[in-house]
Amino acid sequence: MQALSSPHFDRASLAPSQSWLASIPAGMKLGFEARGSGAGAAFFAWAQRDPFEQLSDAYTFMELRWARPRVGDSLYSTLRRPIVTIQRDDAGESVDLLRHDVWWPREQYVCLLAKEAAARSFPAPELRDWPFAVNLFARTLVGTDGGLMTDVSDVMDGARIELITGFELVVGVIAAGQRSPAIEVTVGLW
Amino acid sequence: MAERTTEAVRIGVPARDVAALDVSAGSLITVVDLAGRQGADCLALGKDGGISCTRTTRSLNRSLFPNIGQSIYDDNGKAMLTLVEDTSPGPHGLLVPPCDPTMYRLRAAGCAHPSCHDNYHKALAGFGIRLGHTPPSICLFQNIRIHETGQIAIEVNRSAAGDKISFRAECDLIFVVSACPNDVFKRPPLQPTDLEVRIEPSRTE
Repeated sequence: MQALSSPHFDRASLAPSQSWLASIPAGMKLGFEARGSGAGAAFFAWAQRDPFEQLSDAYTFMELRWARPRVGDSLYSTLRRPIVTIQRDDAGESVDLLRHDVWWPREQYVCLLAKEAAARSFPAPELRDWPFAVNLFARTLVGTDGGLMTDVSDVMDGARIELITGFELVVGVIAAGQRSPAIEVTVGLW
Repeated sequence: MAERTTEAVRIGVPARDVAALDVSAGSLITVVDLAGRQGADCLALGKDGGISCTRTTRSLNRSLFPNIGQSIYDDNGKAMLTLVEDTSPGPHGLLVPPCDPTMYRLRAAGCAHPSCHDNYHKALAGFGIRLGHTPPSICLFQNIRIHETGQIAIEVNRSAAGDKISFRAECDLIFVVSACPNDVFKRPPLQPTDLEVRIEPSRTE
């Protein structure tokens, strides 16, 4: 895996399994663009001032009372604060909190991002306290028996997800798989 | 065949309180809802450092909660607990975090309200363990459902007095049980009640 970084809030193109880490101010827009059908990414976030305040599926479920967030919904931190708000989601309900990625062993991606955070002096959690990723461009359906099924989300070339940061964050992204299409990550105020 | 371990243990968990037990691999852990409709928020910490992980468990089982024979996994995908019996009508939850001081403050119940969050950290401190985060709970007897629309509904628990759920420990671990102090959301208002935890050591050859 190769780690990319984007300290100037511009654009990064992530090939499969490449990672990206940045510190992003509050109110900034964070865009993800799929460069083909089947693209996906794991997204991590935690507070710049306190790495133990993290993006959390569980707290989002509790505060939102909704399993598949939609445009206008916020995702919540472990302190029950809106950490990002979904502003655009072309594929629809394609920010997946129900299952975490199984694309890489957790130890592998945590070590990769933790090393990059340390190299750039970003505050980061202890390895045992590292957050779990939210899947982008993925969708899980729930059966009446509680079974979880992968839904083939309608992710086409150019499909975008845009998030607005609720406070100053450190965010990490890892593009999916080994042969998936690339992901473009953009940070800015467009 | 020789018995490896000692006698079974039966421990009461008073309403709003917590118990943490040192459990050997192969032991049977049973949580009993003594009065009915009481939630039991649980965590497991492996002696190898793994922590029970609701999200990994959902992902690996492809289910909101394990079925009989399926497991609760740690954050690295290692099986920690396997569900062996459930006499309750269910459901149980692996979706939401434990109640915490922030939740009670936001719901005007005050930061001093007892919480599963504080119970966990108090119990783990007794083992010299300090976590920087609070893992989401294994919410036994929690009546939580996801409707087809995606709406998450949490309603009054359906468990009756004496209902129980049992897991086999797949590794040496610390099992933490909090008799959930939440009296804010329940309709009609219900007071928290006691739980019981039973540990039956394994029998090995």
